[in-house]
Amino acid sequence: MAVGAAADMVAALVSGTLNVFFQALPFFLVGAVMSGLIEVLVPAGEIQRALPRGRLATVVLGAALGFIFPVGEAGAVPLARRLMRRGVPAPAGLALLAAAPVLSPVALASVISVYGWGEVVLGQAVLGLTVAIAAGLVATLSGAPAPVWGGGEDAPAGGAEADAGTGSGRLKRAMRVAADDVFEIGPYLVLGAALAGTLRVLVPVEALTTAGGAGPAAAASALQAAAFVLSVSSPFDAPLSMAFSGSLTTVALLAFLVSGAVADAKTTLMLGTVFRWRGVAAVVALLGGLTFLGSVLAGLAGGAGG
Amino acid sequence: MSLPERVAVRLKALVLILMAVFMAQQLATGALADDYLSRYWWLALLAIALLIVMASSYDLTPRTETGAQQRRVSALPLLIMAAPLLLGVLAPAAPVDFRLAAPRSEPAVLFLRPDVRPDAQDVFSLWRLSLRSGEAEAIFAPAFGVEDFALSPDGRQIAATVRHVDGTTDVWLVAAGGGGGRSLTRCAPASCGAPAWSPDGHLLAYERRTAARGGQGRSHVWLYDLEHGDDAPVYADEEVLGSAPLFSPDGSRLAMYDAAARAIRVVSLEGGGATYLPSQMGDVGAFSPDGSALVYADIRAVGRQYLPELWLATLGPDARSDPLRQDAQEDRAAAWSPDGRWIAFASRRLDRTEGWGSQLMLYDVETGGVQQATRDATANHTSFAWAPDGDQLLVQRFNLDAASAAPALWLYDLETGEMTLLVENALAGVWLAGGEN
Repeated sequence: MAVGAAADMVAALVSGTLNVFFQALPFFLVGAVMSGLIEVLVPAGEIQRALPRGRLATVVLGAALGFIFPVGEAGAVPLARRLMRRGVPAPAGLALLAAAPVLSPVALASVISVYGWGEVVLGQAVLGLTVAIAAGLVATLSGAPAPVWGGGEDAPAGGAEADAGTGSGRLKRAMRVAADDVFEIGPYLVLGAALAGTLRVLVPVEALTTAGGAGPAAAASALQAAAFVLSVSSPFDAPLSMAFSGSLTTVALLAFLVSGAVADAKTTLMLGTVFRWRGVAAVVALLGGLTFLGSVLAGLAGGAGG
Repeated sequence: MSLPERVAVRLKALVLILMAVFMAQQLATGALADDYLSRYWWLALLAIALLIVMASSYDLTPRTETGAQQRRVSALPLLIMAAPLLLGVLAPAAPVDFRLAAPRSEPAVLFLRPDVRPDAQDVFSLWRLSLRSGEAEAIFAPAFGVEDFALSPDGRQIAATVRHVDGTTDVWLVAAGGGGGRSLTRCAPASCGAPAWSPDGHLLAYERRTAARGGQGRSHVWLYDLEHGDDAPVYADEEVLGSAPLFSPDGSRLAMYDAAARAIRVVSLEGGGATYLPSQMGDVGAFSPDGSALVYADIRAVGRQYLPELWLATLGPDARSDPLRQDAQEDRAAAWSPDGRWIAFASRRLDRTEGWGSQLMLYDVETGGVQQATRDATANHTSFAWAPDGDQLLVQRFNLDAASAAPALWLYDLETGEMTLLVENALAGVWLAGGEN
C-alpha cells in the first residue's frame, strides 16, 4: 500500500514537472529567439542611446514594453536578461520582467477568451502595470538588485557582431545566441519545473483555492500561494482559474492571475540567471508583496468588484 | 563533469531535435492536445519549429579542431536539459499530463453538489469522488452554477451547462481532471444546454432554447463539430423542434424530444430517416448498448391520474413499441446496463403499500422478469448510472422521512444486493472511470 502511494506520488511529481516544463517551453523559446534577435540585430549602445533620460520614464517604458512582447514569464527572463546585458537599467528590466507575462498580447487575449471584455481583463492590465511600475520605482529608489554578470553592458554574445554579416547569416547567429540562451537559462527552467512539480505534490492546492471566498487579504494570499505552487504559464492562468473562479471574488481571481504571472516557483529559479540569489529573493518578495497590496487595496476600494 | 566543446555542441543540437520530436509525438498522439494545447496547438508547432531552427544554427561540420573547440565545457546544463526527455520517455507510469492535477486513472465518480450557502442551494458545482481514497474535490464551480453535464466517451472532458447571472445558459468544455474549462457556445439571449456526446467524441449535440417572455421558448437541437468548430442546427427548418438530445451508443442514431409533435424523434444518422415514438414526458429515455432499441417513458391515464409508464421500442425497418411490463406501476428513469442484459428503473407502487418513494427495479431483458432491488419505504431512489463493468449501479437516494434531507449517492452491488453510501449531498452521479474492481 505504502509502495503504491509512493509510486503515485512519484508519478504525480514527474507528471507535474513535465507539465510545467512543456507548458512553459514555447514561451521560453520565443523569449530566447527575441533575445537572440536583439543581440544580433540591435547595434551595441543603441539601446542605451534610445532610452529616455528620467529614471521614472525608463521604468514606465520597461513596463509598457510588456504590452508588445508575446512572452510568458518563462520568455520574459531571457528577453529582460538580454536587454539588461545590452544596457537597460536593472529597474526597467525588472519592470519588464513583471509586466511582460501579465500584459503580453497572449496573456490578455487568453483572459478575454475566458472572461470576455470586462473587469477581469481590465483589472489584470491595471494591476499588472501598476505592480510593474511600482517594482521598478522601488528598485530605483532602494537600489536595484545586482545582476549576476556584475552590471554594465556586455560584449556581443557568441562572437556576434550586431551590424555585420548577411541577412541569413545574421539570422543564423541570432538563432545560435537563442540556442545558447536555452542551454544557459533552460536548466533553471527544468529545475524550477521540478520545484513546482514537488510543491504540487506536497501543498494542498485545492485547499488554497477554496480559500478564495474569504476576506480580501486571506483570499489574495491563499490564491497567490496557489499560483506560486502551480507555476502555470501566464497565458494558461486564465483557463486554469476557471476551475475555481466560481468560488472566488474578482480580487482573489486578479491576485491569482497577476501573481501567477510575476512570481511563481519555476520563475523564481529562472531569475537566478538574472540576479544574484539574494536579489532573487528580494525581487520575488517585492513582486508578491506589491501584488498582494494592490489586490487587497482594490478589494477594499471595491473597485475591482471585489 | 566536462565535455569537449565540439561534442557538447553536437549533443546540444541532438537534445533540441529530440525535444522537437518528443513534442511532435505528444501532439500527434493527442497527449499535448488534451487540455493545455487543445486551443493552443499552434504553440506546440511553433516550439517544434523553433527547436529545429535553433538546432540547425549549430555548426556541426567536421573540421580540424582549433584551440577554442578543444575547450572543455560543463556537461551539467546539457544533462539537466535532457532530463525532461528522459523522464517523458522512461516514466511510462507517469504519462505527460498537461492538466492541473495528477493523472486520473483511478475509479471515480462525477456528481453535482449544491452550494453550501443557504441562499444558493440551487447553485450546483461539479465534483469528483475518488472511489479509492474516498476523497471528494470540486473540479468546476462557476459562479452561478452548473445545470447538467455529460462526460466525453474518453473520460477526459466534460460538457457542462453553465448558468449565467441573467439566467441564460451556455455549454462549456471542462477538463475532467480539474484543469479549467472554456465556453463552447455563446447563445445569449437564448439558452444552450443538455449536452450529449457522440460515441467517437467528435460531435456534441445540445439544445438551444430561444428566449421567451414568461415561458420557455422554442428549443432546437444543434450539433457542434469539435474537430472543425462547425456549429449548426440539425434541422434548418425552425419549425422542427428538438430538446434533450441523445446519441445511440453505436453512433447510428440521434434521439431528441419534439415538443410540437409530442414525440421522441429518433433520427438515423446513416439513412437519414426518422422514427417517432409518442411521449409526453419531454425526455428521450435510454438506448440499448447496440442502439437497436430505446426504453422511454410516456404518460398513461389511470382513473383520474396520469402516471409515467415505461415503453420499449425496437428501432429500424420493423419498428414497434410496447409497454415494458404488463403490471406497470409508476415507472420511470430507465438506464440500460452496458451488457444489454438489464434495464434499471425507478418504480413507485400505485397502491403506495411500499410508501411514497420509488424503488430500484431491475428488468431482465432476456426473460422479461422484474426484480425489486430496494425495499425502503423511507427513501426515494432514482437517477441510475451503471458502472462500465455492469456490476454496480450508482443510485441517487433521497430520504423521505427527514424534513431537510439532501440527496446522496449510493452504490448498489448486483451480486450481493447491498447498498452502500458513497457520498452525501450529491446528485446526478456518473462513472468517471471503471467500476471498483
